[in-house]
Amino acid sequence: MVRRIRMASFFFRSWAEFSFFVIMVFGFTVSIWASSHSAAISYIVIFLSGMIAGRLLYDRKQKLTIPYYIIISGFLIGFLFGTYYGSKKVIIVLFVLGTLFSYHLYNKGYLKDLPY
Amino acid sequence: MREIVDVQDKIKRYYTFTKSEIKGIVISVLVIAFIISFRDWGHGDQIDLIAGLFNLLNSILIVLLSFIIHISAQRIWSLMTGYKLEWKMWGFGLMAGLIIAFLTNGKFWLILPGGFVVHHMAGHRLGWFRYGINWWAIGLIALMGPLASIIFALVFKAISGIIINSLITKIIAFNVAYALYSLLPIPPLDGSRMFFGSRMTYVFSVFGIISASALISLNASIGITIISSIFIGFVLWLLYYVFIEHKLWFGG
Repeated sequence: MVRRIRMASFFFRSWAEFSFFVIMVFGFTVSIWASSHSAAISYIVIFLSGMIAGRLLYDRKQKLTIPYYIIISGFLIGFLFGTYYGSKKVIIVLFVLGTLFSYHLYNKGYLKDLPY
Repeated sequence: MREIVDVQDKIKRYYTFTKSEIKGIVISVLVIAFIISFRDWGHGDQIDLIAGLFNLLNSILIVLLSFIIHISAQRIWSLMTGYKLEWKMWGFGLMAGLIIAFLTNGKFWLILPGGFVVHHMAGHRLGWFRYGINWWAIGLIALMGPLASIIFALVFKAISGIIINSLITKIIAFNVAYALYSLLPIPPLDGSRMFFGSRMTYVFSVFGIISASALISLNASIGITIISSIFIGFVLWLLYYVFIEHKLWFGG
């Protein structure tokens, strides 16, 4: 029981770091999968992933965002590790563009949806 | 008779979609249609633009019709129970669906278009609990969507006995998939509203709709599909109560 409480306490304190590693592995897997098709698919997937990140950051507007930046960067790092076709610089640029594009669409009210 | 006139009046007054809803539905329809027509843009590496656009148009019609059936069933039920339903798209779900379509080359459909919120109309809930929104009512409204989709699939299954057409096959496949995805207990999908509304009803409807979907895919007759799915749903509902829910309620 004590061990469980310690584990829960550890997770509660370090959920962002824990999520960072989980999402990094996820990003790596997605990247390997996307790269198995072609560089173009990797670029499309990273742009769409950037759009998801933008939606997430918009949802966290006016709230605590630093842990989310850590988690999102985990995905990008994982994705970069897994990319073997295509330029890593293009991937970073597309991810940032996707994030900004999506954030802008939601922030200006062009898109409205249910977060949950 | 009085109830029917009342419902007709409510539909006339409150059924209309808002601009925001129409925008959400249009975006969702386009994205989902693109996902389900992903593999219909030519053979192998050859892209046939004309055929692709034709198939995309077909998919848009299929998805639009299915969405209207799904949302209308929920909207009419919500009006009948004194709530006004507002449908909203789910950005995360649509983007995840697109990513999965690209990753799997369109072999796997992830259909997570959105969910709804309800607005309380206190004046239309006279005679019922009218001091706020309750989970049970929302759960029932949510259930109407997947139920309508599976009934729609069954109707087209019956039609496919007379006319065999790839379009009809796609309508059946899409509606079965849409009903099943809607049942997932992930907010804001219908399944989450049903789950919070009543676990017992959720279990019955999930197993009923899953077995109906399986029987439709196995080409069982319509009568057998309906009776068997209700029976399977009932048996699993009972087992769920005996082995899980009963213990949760009374301990042991």
